[in-house]
Amino acid sequence: MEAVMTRGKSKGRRSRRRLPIPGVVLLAGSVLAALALPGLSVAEETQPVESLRLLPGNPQIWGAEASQQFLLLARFADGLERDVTDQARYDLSDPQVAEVDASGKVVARSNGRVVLTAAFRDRTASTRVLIDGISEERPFSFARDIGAIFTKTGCNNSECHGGVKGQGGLKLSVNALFPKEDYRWITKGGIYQVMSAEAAGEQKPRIDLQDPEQSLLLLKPTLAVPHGGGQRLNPESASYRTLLRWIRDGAPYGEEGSEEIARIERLEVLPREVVLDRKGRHRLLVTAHMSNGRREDVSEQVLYESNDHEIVEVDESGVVTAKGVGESAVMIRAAGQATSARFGVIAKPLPRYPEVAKRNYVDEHVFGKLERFNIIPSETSSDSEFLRRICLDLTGTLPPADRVREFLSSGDPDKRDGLVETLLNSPEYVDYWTYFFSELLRVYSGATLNAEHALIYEDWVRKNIAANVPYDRMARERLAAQGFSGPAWSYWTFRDLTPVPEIATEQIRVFLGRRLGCAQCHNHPFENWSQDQFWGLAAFFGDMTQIMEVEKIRGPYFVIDDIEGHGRRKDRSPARILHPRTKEQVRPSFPDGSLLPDSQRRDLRMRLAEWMTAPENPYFAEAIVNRVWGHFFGRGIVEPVDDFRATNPPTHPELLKALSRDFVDHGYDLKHLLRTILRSRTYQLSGLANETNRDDKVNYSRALPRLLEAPVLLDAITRATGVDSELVVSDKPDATSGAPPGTRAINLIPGMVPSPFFEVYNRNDRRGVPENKPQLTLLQSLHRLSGPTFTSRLTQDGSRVDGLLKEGAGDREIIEDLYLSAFTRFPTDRELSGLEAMLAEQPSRREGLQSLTWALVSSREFVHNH
Amino acid sequence: MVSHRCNRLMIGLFLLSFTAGLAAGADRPKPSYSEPELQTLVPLGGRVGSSLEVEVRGKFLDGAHAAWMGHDAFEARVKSVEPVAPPEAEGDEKAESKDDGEYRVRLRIDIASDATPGPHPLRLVAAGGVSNRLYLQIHQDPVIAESSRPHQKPATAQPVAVPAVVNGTIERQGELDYYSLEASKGQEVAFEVIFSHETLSKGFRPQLRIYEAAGSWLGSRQLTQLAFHSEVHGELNLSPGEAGPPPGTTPINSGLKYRFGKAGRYLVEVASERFQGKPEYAYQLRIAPVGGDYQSRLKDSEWGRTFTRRIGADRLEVLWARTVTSNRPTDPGAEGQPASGRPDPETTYDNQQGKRPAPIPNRVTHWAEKEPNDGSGRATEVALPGLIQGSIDRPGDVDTYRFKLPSAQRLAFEIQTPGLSPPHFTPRFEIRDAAGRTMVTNLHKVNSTLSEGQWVVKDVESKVIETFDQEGEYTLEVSDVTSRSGSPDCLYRLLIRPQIPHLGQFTVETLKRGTEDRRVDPLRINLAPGEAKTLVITARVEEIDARITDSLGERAFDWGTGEMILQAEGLPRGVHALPGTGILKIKGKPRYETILRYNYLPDVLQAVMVFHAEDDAQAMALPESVRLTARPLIGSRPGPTIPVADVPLMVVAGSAAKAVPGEAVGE
Repeated sequence: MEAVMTRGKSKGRRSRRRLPIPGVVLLAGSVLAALALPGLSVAEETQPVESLRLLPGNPQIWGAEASQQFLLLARFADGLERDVTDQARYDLSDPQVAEVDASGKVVARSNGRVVLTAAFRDRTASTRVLIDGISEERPFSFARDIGAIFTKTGCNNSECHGGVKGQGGLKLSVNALFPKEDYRWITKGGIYQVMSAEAAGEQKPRIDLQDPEQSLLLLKPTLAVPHGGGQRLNPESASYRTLLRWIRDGAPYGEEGSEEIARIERLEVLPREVVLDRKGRHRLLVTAHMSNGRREDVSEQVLYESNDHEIVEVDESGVVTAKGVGESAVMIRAAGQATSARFGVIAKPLPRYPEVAKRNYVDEHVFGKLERFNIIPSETSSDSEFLRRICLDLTGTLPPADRVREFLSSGDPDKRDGLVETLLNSPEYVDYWTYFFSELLRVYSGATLNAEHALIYEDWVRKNIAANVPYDRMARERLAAQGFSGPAWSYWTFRDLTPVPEIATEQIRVFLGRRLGCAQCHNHPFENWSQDQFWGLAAFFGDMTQIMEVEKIRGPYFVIDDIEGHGRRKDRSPARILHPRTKEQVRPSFPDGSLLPDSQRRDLRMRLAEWMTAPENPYFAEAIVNRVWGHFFGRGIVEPVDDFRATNPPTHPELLKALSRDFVDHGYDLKHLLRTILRSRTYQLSGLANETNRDDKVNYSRALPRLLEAPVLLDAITRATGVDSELVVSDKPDATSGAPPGTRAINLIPGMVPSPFFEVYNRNDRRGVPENKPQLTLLQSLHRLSGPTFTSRLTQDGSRVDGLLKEGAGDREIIEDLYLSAFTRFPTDRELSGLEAMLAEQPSRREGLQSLTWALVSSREFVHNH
Repeated sequence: MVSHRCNRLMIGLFLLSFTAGLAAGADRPKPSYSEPELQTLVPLGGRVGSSLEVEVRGKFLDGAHAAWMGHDAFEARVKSVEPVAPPEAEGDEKAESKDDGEYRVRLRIDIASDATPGPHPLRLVAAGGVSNRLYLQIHQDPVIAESSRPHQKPATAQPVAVPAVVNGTIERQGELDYYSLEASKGQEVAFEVIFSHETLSKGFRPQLRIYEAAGSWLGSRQLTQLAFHSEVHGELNLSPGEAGPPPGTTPINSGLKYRFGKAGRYLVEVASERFQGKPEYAYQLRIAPVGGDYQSRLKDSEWGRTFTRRIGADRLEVLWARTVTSNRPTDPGAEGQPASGRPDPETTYDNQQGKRPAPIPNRVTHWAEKEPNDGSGRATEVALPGLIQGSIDRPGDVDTYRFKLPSAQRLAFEIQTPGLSPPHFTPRFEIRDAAGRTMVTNLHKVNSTLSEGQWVVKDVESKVIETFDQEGEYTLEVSDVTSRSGSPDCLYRLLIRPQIPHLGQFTVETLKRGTEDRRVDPLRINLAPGEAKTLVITARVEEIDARITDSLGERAFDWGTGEMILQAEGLPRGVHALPGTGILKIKGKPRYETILRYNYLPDVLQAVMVFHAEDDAQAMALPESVRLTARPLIGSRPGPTIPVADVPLMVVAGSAAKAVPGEAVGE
């Protein structure tokens, strides 16, 4: 048995020894650990402290009985910064101005300035504290004071009263996002209806002004009467007292909107990123930035939730405890707002973090976080790894064997950058990125029952890719498409214009990376998106009008925007966009609530497109940047790539911002974006794990294998075997063999190609925004064993093996060629000798080589990009 | 009194009511002969002053002995007639393949050097009479045949010298035809794929791609696609004779122009959508340099709408020549005056208003657009009647004009698209009064409640009729309906003129006998002795006055409006044309509950003409051309003769179907 102990050394250098540890020592260690100070393990207690940090720095405390919790962070010799707040001593320069307790909480007593000093071991840290407004009571606010209680207690979360229809007859808005509505349901009663603004049921208030203690609002959460949600309030708690006092005061709403009533504009959490060891604990500080410019410590008023309970747990006071190695976000919600902090739990701190070479700002961000998280990135990939990966990622094409030899043998130090440029300017790049965007923009046959429309739509995508048209322009063209143009066909479902809510949902998801589908029927259950916001955006699509030849009720139909209203509908929807709850006509408005001026009323979709693609709209750039990043790494900085939300924070927010900014600064140049990512060392890392990054799945510390998409896989099989795919393009009896030989699978539009291979490998049919990544299935395994894609083509004349045999190539030469074609690498000596021996034993050399080909294209190495 | 034996028949028609419903399919007795039906033509045509051999396939072609093209510029001879072995069929296909036998007929056609380039009808004469027509496409440019050597791969592309027309066929599933051409730097070349409506209905939708065969780092054979073109038809469930272009013509209305950025060899690929292929998928690939005397052959096709009908300087004369009122001015150059005391639409209207209009001159003035004119402050002033010519040069371009009316008027606005036509360029125009209020546009909103729910659709019309109640100044704006189209090819000609009630387009077709009636090209009549057949003649009457009587758009007409004489000239001996009746399918008037008052839809007149061969009529070796004409009744007198159609008619050997026994009916 063996354990690892570390001993601190001055100036950050430590030695590490592996010692056999008898049982008695372990017992002693456990006893010591039990006696250790909270938050510090035995090992840390013995480490020198290198620095202290006191958070927040130079705060201002405002208002009567206002307080501020402080956080003391100590950086230890092992490189980790730990929360030592509870182990520190605190001292204030002027006890008349404020008091501080042992937990680091400062309570204001009078206006003035004080200096808070925290001491831990032999180090101290100080900060100035300004105290002001000590005699001023903060005005009551329902949203702020009562809404916060609902949030803190979880009463208004989406699984309880914040659900779509509420719970038990009481509806609260998620996170107190709509306090006026909450106030109405509590003080007036009635049951919320999803599709009507009218209240249903008995209009019975949840409060009793005559007998406040008997209010349902108090009886239920304290379990004085049965409550499906269990006990949420303790009658002795401050929250209970606040609620009771509010009811006794006549249940006012407060003077919302007045200058005295400050709203929370945003939440700030400190620290935003924390690294814990396996036994680490860490407190979070949450500061509310108010609309009046002040800041308030709301650490005790917010709700904390861990996104992954196997990594970290968090208690109601915001103390996070490590549970397992990995990374997780902790969500923080206050009335109407949410934010998050990211926690990484590491197996052990690294004694010395190596120097890691960086090639551009992508590496700065990625490797910077890896260093903070004590993860060492893998080595740079081999030329073979890089070549196969980039060819598949950028062109969906395996390189031919002669090109592999050429690249591997080249001594040019810039050959990787050169290859990036070569591939970016290749026709295969145009093919593949046409495929990529055709997936995203849903080019499929069947949208209008007319395959030609799909073809001209795809041609529009292709022209944009070939000319590297700025992405914002491409997006505007698609969003505001009219007439017989290619992108205009995206607005059709068979022969009807797609209903407005579906259109709006798709555009927002594709171009802004947000999923607002549920806000169509009700306020978003998890996010700060309201139903009104959704319909305000949807109204931009309300002028879409179907043009057709009326006389013949057919003819060349197309879509325009016309101020008088909407296109052909089957659902009896009026030619105006009506709010489904209020039944009032919705005017086009942006998410911040601002209405489109009447002077800009024409060409509505173009107005929306301009807003969506404006450089100052961060959503647009980050959505495509994240999607492209996800393509190259198998995982977006936000994952899923089109599910941006406060409760799904990015793993690398600064990287996402930097990439987005760079993308905008370079005129939405897709090739520039791709080039930046592909030239980074991050992209070029090897897939071979080291001891520190073996478990890392989210920090891009190594290349993770990604399954090839169905069309890419089929094309790869074609390349590797040398036999063209037989692509059936029609299920009519006289069309058993459809597409001509040489047709690439990525060039075929779904709906025109009912290929069994695509069915087995779950090719996206593009009837919806791409949702799933390729996955291995049992059916695919069976197909590999007996499917014609993997079997019959191996024996065909003209196959790679057939050609090599006819040329008189030897076993070694053929094996090498097969490896280069399939894996973009030479076989290892072991592989080569083993295979030569195996072939020598085969009764038929040809069949042996055919079996080898099958083995290669069936292997995990082949079906993955890695 | 009209003789039953004379070759000219006058039919007084008083039909203004439209009978609803389709004729029910019924088991009808069949005659003893079968009418020949042509299905495919390969190749599609040739060059003027040349000879070519073509193969025509179809049914009931046994005994085909002559081709009938109706033009001296062609001499066609039947070289052989052979039955085609039926293909192997399975299952349900087999059950449905009990069709009558298919034949192939080889023809040699000599094309005179003065033949007019364009489509020319071709018919065969067989034992069952004269066939339907296919179209032979004639070109001035050299016409070459698709090589018999394989050229289905880029490496084996067939070289073509520009200009040229290639007669090709996509014979098999998965076939791609490659051609190569040399282009100079900056050269703009037009590519057109001409094919027949008949093959469109058989699933042939040709596509064109232009490639550069430069290879790539990843593959020496890799092509770089430079351009793609698909002849989008925007139509579903096409069947000959219904929507879409006339049978036999090419169903496409746009081509591909490409300017080559550098000199070199390029590839052209012709394919069919979904890579389908059949022996009858014949096409002509026309490759011609743009410029000089190049004119697209694809402009000939008309796509349902009327934006392509010609509006020239003689437009008023053309319309007056087809008028159905007596309101024509005696002097075309003088101001319009009522020619008789009979109430006419204009005076009827103005009498209702208690004032008489100041007539608009009958002389059309030409106005050319002058940019900048995108705003009322920059509007070009035009006098009426006026023909405005302009273009929507760029997306979002709006051309503005201004005209004055000295008094209340009823005006017609007609627009033509001589360049790109709908749906690629669909002009929208809007007239505003001096206060900026929109009076009328050619974008019409139509609501309808059908079985599947409410429809809200809009239509863009090429003509609008509007009553202007007030004298004063008006503004006209012309733009693209989408605001996304705009190029020098987006040309328009807009005529503002007084309303002229007149006969518009005629169509002639057989009386449909239910949905199973799949006969093609009704414009031929084969009669056995004793047999009678019907034709339905539909005329559109435009700009006649009517009063809308209810919210559903029911209209009331003045007595006598739409009366017309139909005549059949050139009938062979023993054949008569008689007035008849039939259950007619509604044409022209849609079932919409609301049609806004400014919407323009022509009114429809329909008549049935019966052709009857006497029992002792002699069988004919070749058909004769029968000309159908119309004469509107103006007042109580027949007006000018208007040609309707030329129909080949033939008496064939055989017998008419016997009457179905049944009870006698009558009163």
